[in-house]
Amino acid sequence: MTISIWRYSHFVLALTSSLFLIIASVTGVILAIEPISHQAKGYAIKDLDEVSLGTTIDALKENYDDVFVLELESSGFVKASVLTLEMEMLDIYIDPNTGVQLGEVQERPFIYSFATNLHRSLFLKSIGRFFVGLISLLLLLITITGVLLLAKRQGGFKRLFSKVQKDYFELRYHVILSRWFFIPIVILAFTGVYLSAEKFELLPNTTITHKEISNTDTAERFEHISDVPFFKTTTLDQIRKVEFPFSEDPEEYYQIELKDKELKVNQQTGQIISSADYPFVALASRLSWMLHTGEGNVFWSVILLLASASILFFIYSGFAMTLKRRKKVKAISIMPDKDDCELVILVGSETGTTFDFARRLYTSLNAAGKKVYLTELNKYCTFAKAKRIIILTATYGEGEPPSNARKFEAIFPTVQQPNKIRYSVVGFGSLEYPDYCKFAIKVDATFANTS
Amino acid sequence: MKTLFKIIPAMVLAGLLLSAFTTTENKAVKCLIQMTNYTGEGAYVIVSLLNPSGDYEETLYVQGKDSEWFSEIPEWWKFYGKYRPNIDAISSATIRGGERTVTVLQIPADKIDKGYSLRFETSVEDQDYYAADIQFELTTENLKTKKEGKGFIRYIRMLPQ
Repeated sequence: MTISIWRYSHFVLALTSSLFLIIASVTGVILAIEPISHQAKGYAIKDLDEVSLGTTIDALKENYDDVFVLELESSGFVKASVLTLEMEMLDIYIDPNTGVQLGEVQERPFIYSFATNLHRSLFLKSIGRFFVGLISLLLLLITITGVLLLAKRQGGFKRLFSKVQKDYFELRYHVILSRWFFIPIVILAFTGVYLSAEKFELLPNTTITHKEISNTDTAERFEHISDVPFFKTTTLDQIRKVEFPFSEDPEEYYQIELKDKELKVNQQTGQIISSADYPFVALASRLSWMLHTGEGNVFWSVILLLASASILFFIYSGFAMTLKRRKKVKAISIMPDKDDCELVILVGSETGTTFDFARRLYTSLNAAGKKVYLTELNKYCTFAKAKRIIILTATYGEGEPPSNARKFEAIFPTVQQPNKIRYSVVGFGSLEYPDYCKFAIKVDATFANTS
Repeated sequence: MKTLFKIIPAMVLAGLLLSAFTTTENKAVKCLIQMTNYTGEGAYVIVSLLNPSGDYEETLYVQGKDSEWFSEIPEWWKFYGKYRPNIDAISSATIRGGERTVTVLQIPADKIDKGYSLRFETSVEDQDYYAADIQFELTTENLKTKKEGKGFIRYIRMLPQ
């Protein structure tokens, strides 16, 4: 049976990548849990826009012997890398107002690092990463062809979310779920490809260049960090990361990463020594990372989890549908020659349902002792002894013929049947579509015009 | 003979206690590692203590947590790979070109000024490997200075606490 190029590519792409997609989806589900469980620790700080950087630095210096790095996680946790009075290095979550330790940064659980490794490189290092990037690209193509098929099935992009025709479980939910999940899956696949491309340096260079800013030497020096205007006015919500000066040497500076740029700030005067804007590619990478991992957003993490799980369902239902269709259109082994039959059945079927009916009709007529010939509408030709033709056809998309009936209208005028033909048309369709049985009606009209 | 059996456990206990209290003091040295502006993946940096004959004695710091890449640091791997002791406490995430990190090295105080040396070994996946990006003798004087690197490290600066 002829199937459309989109359905064929959708199937072949899925078939070649299914094994790897199963691995990626299962590990994806596991990894989606990580940001959710991370957030559940509850160290998130509210009102970061009301805490000044100066307050936090002061509080940290009071509590610890030395401070190396202050980091604002996208989860809203404030993380600091400090040296305790016992000369021990410690990574902790803190309350930015008091510098008090809320909890220690835990080692990443093994299950997550294992899943990450499998997810992005299949434990095959660089080759694995390339492969996973490729599979990501295939997933993107599968989703795009899927959406095209979906739009076709529903009768146009505008009707994408209209009612779904009742059908068997796998087919029905393959359609219903794909309408909801194609968006997050496209995002997952696209960011996956992007992150892989970044790994292999396929993107423009992201190195940033600092621009020196000339300062006057007479600038005011401050005794206390919280008096420095820069540290007083900058609030934590604008910051991503602060690297502390190595020593009190005036040459040593604060290196501060904001949302869109990076600054080097003099530790005594608070003057900006140099600044650098992040290039677009760097910002896009950050966004891709957040969208792909769900980091810092529980709601999005849940969606990613469901989307990953849905891929597993699509793989299952997709193969179940394929097997079912193959069974339905299984070729009929012994069929008499087309020119020996008085009775001809012509079929137009997209998903195989109509074909199934046609096959049953054929079998029954055969059992009743008739010589019957069954073929697709696309293969319409002269039938030497034919007296009756029965046409069984579905309608696809917006009143269009199914894939295996697409050529019928073009072939019909070129064929001259030797005998007078009596014909009947049976249309298969659902009243839920506006173009109900339109193609069947058209076929009927075509035959009517010649007789 | 009987008394000997009584003495042996006592002596063992005393010995254990003695060794427990004479564990070597560590000297904390703050160390800044500044990378060059290379492009590519984060660099693996290993800081090791070498004995006077140049053999590995102890791993002081490991930058890079993905143990599947450890074997790509061949010199150190010959030492570490044999027993693979737990290094969670002294490891941290990799940093990329142009970035810097500060860490605290716990250096055994009794090994300073005794002919031992410190080695900074670097490796970047699919790029180069430097067995001795920086290597210098472990002296009180050296622990206060800045050292230039030959590979992925631009320089390191140290400051005893």
